[in-house]
Amino acid sequence: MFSIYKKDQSNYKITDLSFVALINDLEHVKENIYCNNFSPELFYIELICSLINNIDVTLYDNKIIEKSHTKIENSITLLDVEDLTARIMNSKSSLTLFTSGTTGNPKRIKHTVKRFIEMCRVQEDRNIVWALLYNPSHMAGLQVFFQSFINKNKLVYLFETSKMVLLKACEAEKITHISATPTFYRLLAPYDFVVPTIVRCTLGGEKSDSKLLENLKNVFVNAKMNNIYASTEAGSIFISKGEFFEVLPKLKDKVKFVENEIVLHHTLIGEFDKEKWFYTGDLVEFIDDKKFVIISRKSDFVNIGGNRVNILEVEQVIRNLSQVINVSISTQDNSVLGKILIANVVLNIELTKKEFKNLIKPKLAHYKIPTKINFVEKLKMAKSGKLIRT
Amino acid sequence: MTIVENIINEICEDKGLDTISFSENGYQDLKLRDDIGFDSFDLAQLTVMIEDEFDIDIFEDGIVSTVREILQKLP
Repeated sequence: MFSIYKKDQSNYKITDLSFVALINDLEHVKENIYCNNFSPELFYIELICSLINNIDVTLYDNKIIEKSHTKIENSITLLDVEDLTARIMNSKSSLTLFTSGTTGNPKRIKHTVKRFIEMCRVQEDRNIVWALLYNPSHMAGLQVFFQSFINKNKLVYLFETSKMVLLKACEAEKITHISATPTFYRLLAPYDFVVPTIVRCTLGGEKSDSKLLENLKNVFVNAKMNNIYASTEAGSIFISKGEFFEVLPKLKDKVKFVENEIVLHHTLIGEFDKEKWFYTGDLVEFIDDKKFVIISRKSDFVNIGGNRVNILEVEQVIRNLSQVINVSISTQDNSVLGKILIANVVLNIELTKKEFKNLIKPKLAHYKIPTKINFVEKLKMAKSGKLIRT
Repeated sequence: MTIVENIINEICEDKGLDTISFSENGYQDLKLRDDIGFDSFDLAQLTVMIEDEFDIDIFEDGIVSTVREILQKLP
């Protein structure tokens, strides 16, 4: 038997996970509610059913694209929500995901359910309401799912919805926990609203900056701000309450730094490689013995006419201008300099390219000033919620 | 070729260099680096602006050093 709680009239969906998941006859579900459009309920039902039955799944683009087997040998009778949660927590399934490919070709990464459960925080508070703003089949979306599921919290499905719908859902559902990429939060500008229900606001997946944090503090007035360092390969590794990260004591032997690059022990990462240590390509700068800031990825550095330029730094300087809503910097081959920087900029007032250049000149070394400037209405965002630099 | 003249002068003004005039004799022999004062970043800027306008990379098959060499590459 199954039931689905739907709320369509407000243009968002609530997935009450503890309720939705009280089924395990997957074929029956598929026959009865399958439709061509993506259905978050179906996605989660299929996922939960697979995990209960210890089926390995491969997820891609909002879908379960592969399963180790589809036939369920023995029918399982679920006693109640506690029983269901326990079965998920003890599932032997693995989940194969794909990296977003924003820094190269997508890679297959396999994680056990156990690893996802380890990453969750146990919270007694049943009044926590999560907003799902990440792609449900990606690492971050699955982390939010497991976090809400094992704590029996409500999950409000808001992936790919507009600012207006998000605000409406926050008010109607009293959303308390929100987690998204800095790119997503920047798209909420202008910050002319206040959401008092949110008590925890997490930023992950990309480098954040102090201007954005300040803006978010004015919007999510009651929220504690968190930065999270996570990746598809490793899941969550470091969390910071402010700007600085620290290695958690329990991970002390599993994280090292080689020439300021974060290097992780293979037990922390998915089974995509047999190497003992995984070089993340993410670079840090130590503030003292323990505290560090994540400065960029190795691939964020480009050589412009013999000068090493960190494109994230250029983005940040431009983004800090009051006339700028958002910016992405990409590179293009150039016959003179090898590579040049291209800036795609979203402005909040009209400027000529010359006026714009005059604004950034005093703030950037001449070789860091983008050669080409395009004013655009919006920037491209990957399904993972990260900025696409093209 | 006032478009090229405008592009060169826009970069000159941007950098605080003296502008040039295509109505003066010998303008075609002006060297981009030595006479006008462009550095490699200005030349990159020049290629991008000319490419935007004419869809031609003037530096594709080697470094262009004078105004004349630019004009010869354009339709």
